[in-house]
Amino acid sequence: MYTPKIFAGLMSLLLLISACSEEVSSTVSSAGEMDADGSDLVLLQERLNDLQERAQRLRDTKEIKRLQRAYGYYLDEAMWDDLTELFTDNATVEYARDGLYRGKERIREYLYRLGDNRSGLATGQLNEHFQLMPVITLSDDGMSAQGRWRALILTGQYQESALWGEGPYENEYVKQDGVWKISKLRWYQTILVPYNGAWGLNEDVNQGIYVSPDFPPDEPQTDNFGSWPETFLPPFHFDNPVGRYMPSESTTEGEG
Amino acid sequence: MNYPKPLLLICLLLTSLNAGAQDGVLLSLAKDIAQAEMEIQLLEDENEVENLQRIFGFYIDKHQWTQAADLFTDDATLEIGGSGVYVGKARILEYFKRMGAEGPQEGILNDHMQLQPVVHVSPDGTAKGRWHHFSQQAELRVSHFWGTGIYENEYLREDGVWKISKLHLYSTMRTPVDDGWHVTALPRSQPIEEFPPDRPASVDYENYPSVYVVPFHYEHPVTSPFVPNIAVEVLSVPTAETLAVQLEELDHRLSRLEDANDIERLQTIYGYYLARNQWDELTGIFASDGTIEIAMRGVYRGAASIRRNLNLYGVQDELPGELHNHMQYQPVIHVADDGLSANLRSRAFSMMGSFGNQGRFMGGTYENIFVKRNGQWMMFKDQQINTYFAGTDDGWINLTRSSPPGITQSNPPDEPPTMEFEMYPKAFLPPYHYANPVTEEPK
Repeated sequence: MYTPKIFAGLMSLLLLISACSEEVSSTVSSAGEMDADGSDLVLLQERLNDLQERAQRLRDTKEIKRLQRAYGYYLDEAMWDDLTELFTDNATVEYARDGLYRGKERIREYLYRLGDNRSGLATGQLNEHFQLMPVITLSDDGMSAQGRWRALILTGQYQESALWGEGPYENEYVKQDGVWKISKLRWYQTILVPYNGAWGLNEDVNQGIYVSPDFPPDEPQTDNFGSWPETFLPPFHFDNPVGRYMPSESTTEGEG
Repeated sequence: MNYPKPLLLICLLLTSLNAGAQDGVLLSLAKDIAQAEMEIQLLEDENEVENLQRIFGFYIDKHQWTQAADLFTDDATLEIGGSGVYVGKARILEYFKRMGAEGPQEGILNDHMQLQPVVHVSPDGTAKGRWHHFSQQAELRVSHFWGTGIYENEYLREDGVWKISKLHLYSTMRTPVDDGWHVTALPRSQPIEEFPPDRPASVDYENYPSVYVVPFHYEHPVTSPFVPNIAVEVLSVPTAETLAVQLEELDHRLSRLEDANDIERLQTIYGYYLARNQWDELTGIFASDGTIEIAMRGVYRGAASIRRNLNLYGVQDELPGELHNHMQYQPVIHVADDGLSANLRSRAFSMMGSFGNQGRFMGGTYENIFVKRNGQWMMFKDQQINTYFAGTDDGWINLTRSSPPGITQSNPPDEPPTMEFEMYPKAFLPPYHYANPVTEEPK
């Protein structure tokens, strides 16, 4: 009901008045009610602000998780337009070793090409990409975030191929007009291997290359990530939340 | 304090104004606090709904049909694949019981992973959730299958307790392990003739290799974001003391939510470090007096022993041509009221092996304990109970080895194993740290 401005006005009035309150309290509180003085109310307001901010940060974390999971469900069904709308206008995507594509329309075209320029799955196509293991890190101002995830993948074409796949994401998100969007998507393909023999007996089926030969990226691959059986540790956006074990020194706890 | 008389008069005048202004401020604060309380309630509800679905999954895995059915409302509905709709808790229990004897059974694997929740809670005490379903089912020497599906479920809060009011599992793909989904794609289930459903299937669709998009309960999260309608009303002016007590209570509830968030994050980070043999990083997330107990290898106590235990799984940071993924999922977290300790049950699905040899899948359950020290959550007890190790091509059908990895004499534990168990094809129910959230039936 109170706009912030009116509220601020009231609060400063109360603060001003609170200087008087000690003197007049005996006179005025004759009504018998336990009036708070202005400084109490300011304290309450500060505590409320703190709660609101913390609750908002948890809500943001949950919304980012929903966003990435919604991404997964759209990807499963090759819903490329819905997928594209999850990104900011100048977002970037970089899948496996295909290089980096910048901007929503380039992303849309990239995704369509992943799906043979068709919206939706073809008959007999399986495209499951489970989105697992979120580690979300919100910026101090709560307007951007980073997230590590892992995709577990079952894809293939009936009577042609079946593949196991897996790989982590290191993504970035921003909040625009109160809505979280993906601003950067980086997916590392640990494996994409045939069902028979899986990762024990097969090399990666496409060496992490999807559509870039026919649709060159805006920037080449941004790191030296290779393909199975080569292995690579995608950098973490977060530090060890407790602290790395130092074998030669006594460990410390709870300095975070 | 002594004011000159004119100033005292001004003060008296202002203070009489103050009474009205103060009422306004108190009322405004009360409304904002009521709003914050509703928002915190929604966050708690979302956690409880996620816990509920995950608890359901753990019960189904182990054929705990009665425990699972007790999670439903009295007039709930259940619909799985093309089997039709069963109405009411009693019918749901009977449906479950037809899937096998109650309790974990020797020679049966029934893992149903509950993944990727998109849950939306409304302030009216209802919620909807989309989940991914990924199953590993086997009957020793008879059959073994991979299966995927999607849940679109509904939940209801009754007397403060969340229950499942509608469970709808749309099957997507099902294939025998020996074939794979490129060779064999089984159709969705049909109604059981001798136990017909109360209503026919609510939707007509075919499994993969047909294409069917399971309807979403939510709109597009960016173009039509979900905004719960939170309307609060505060009619009377509270005292500042009342508001201070409310804020204290909310702070407490919010802190437990932050704790649960931190713990889920830490367990997940555990999985990332484990996946790449980052043993010093992994040891670092434990309390200095923590323990690790993997399979039946025994208890390794304290940071130096935990670090030593990790050597059993490979050389630190060296993984050329090796896969060591331990996907962490389905966490059920309960934080102690004092915010200093917490229990977590969760699962791992692992993809392991060295290039050149058949790879392996591993399924397992965690019952872990976390502690908060100096404001920082850390792992206090990590206990992992394996369900199976299975070759990627062999699957579960002829698995015979049921003893989990035991003590390594050259790198022995500080204490013997705390739990004896056998893996599939033997039956074992890893003890729960929690009771049934609806009936409070014991663990």
